[in-house]
Amino acid sequence: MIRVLVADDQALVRAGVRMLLQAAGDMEVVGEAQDGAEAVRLAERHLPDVILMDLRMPRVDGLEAIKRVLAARPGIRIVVLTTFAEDANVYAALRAGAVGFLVKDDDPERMVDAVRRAAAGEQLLAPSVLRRVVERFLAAEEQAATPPPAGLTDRELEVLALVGTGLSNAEIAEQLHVGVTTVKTHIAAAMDKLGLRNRIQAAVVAHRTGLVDASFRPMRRGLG
Amino acid sequence: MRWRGVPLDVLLAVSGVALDLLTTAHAGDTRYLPAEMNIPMALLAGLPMGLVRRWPVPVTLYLAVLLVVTDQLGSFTSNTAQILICVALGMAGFRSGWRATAVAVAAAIGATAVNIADPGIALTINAWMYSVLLPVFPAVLGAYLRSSAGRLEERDVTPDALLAAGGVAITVLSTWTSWHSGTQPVWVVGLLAVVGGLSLGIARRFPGLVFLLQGVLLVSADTYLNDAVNTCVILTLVAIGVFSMRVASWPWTVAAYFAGCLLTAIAVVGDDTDITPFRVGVLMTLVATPIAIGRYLGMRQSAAAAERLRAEEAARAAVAQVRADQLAERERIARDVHDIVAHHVGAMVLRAGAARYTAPDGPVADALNDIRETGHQVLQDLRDLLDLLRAEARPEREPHLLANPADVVRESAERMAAAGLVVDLDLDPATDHAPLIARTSAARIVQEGLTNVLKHAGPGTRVSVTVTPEGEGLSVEIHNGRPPTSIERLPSSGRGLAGMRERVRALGGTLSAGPDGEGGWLLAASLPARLPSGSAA
Repeated sequence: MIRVLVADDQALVRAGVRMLLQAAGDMEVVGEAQDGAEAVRLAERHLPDVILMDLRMPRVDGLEAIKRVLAARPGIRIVVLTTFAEDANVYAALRAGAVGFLVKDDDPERMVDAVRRAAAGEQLLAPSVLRRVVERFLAAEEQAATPPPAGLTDRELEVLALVGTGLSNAEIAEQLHVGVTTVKTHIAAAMDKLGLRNRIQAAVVAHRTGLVDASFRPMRRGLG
Repeated sequence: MRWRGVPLDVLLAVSGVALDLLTTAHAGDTRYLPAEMNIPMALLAGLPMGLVRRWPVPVTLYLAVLLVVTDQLGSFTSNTAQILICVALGMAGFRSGWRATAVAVAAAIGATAVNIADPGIALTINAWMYSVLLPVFPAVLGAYLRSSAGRLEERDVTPDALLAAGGVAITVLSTWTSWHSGTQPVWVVGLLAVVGGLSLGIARRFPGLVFLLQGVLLVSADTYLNDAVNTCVILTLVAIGVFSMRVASWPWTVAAYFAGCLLTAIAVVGDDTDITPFRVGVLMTLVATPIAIGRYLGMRQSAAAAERLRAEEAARAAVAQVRADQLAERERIARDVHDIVAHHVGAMVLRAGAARYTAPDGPVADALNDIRETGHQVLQDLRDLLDLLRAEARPEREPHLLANPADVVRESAERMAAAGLVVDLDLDPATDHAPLIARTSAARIVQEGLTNVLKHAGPGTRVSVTVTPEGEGLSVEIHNGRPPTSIERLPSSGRGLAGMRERVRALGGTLSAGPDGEGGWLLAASLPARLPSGSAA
């Protein structure tokens, strides 16, 4: 059973999420928080696997709550639940360590799937969304391309580039003709060496260092 | 024409009568008329001038008849009629259509021909030319003045009227005694005097032309009518003054100065005049005076015009600023409301989607699916709209509103309490039923009002916030007591309050802010449920 905490100030949203996740069968809502402070408290009490977190909440907002939860419990996977994917706070939340975000009018199937993948430590963002996120990150940081990160093996660089294109682990494994576990190992090693928290940051690094071009295709600079 | 009517008409009539009295003063009994008839004749000739501005063509026709009659009677009043007919024709050209003017000109030509033929001059081609040109010229001049009137930057003709009247007064009064003594017929001299004086009336429009005309008059007077030379000098100096007032270019002013010196020298230097440096100095100073005055007045005038332009520009800018502020505030309202609506629609879509996910197939599932799909579409549209509104937003970001404005109110109260205010919040639950636009605005007002209290009264101040239903709308009151310490007050930008005022006005409500008389401050806003009809932008 995946244990999920829902934090949203709108009762309608909490009721909807509860109904949806319970119908999915393999997950349960262990708590509902109406604001950020309550979310932090309930996260500490219930230790959920995944938190679905709205950003705009009274008193303590979602961004602040994400920071507090992750500071205390870095293992909890937090998925942002938002009305506007373009909200500047979404990017701040991803930067703070959220593993992805869902828009409230996403398909119910996609939401259920996202919770499962988040619980499994998986990538949440579809390539199209990832593209938008990375572009926003790059625009916000306005940094020039830097040389490829040092200390990574060629294989790790290659995997990092494919992460930057928005592929899932399974797709990367298929493309490189290796096992999914091998891909996960490479990604984990690369992120560890670069001090990254999640795949979005990894994708941004891949873009910024020129491993991926502007149209999200890997650059084959002496790789493979 | 904006001339104040009646006084000017009276002045014209009096001037006409006076002119005739002056021309006939030296005449004794004539063949048909005793000298006692001079006054009635003067009235006959002069009084119709009071009507000349309104009915120039009939007055011209009347004067033509009078000219022929007086000419046949041998009365000196014919001179007056000849002068006045030219003035009337100028007015006809200025005011009437070309057909009526042509009739008047034709009548004047006939009468003038009779008048000129009378003293024994043969009806030669030459004489015909005079009698044609004399009436045609003023009519054409009048028509020209009318066509150029629209181009005038200032249409105030009072100074022109004063200049013309003053000019005529000077010329006629200073020369009439000698009209009979010259070699020319009385009406010729009289006409030149009247025209010379009147021409000052157009000096502001055509400074160069009038200056030239005065120069010509001065030179001809120096040759033919010595008694009038001094008058011509005065007129020339006035023309120079007007010229240097209207023509800003220094080279032209210098040219006018030397032309003026030359003309004055022509006038004052006779055959037996000693030319001493002192006299030259006096003359040059004399001519410099009107130029200095004219220049000064011109500069003052252009400075005043520039000032007026600046003031108009500033007024326009202020109006534009007010409008921009209004639009900006309305955009903020729209953004807030759309933002919140999108939040609720998002929640509804999520709820419907979840229900659809769990429902078995069937009509209920279809209905949920429809709701979901429509909600999704609405949300997309709202996002587009919000992108548009955000793109217009100012750089300084306002905090986003929460899904429920009441939460915003509570949150600001808590935030301000944490910052040191003693907040007493009275938020009537019934306010949840007020329209979203009123609730949103109330929330913004509470945010802004509490921020202001903290900024200006400081921590420790007791403040009560009351939000209650008022009709179908809302009433908001933020009332703080006397500040606990006389702290250094932060300077007020006034923008926050101005923004709130604008917002309330956009909604058709009222906002008042001011001291409560006991050392505190009261901010009260009344937000109607809907815009009063007609005020929606």
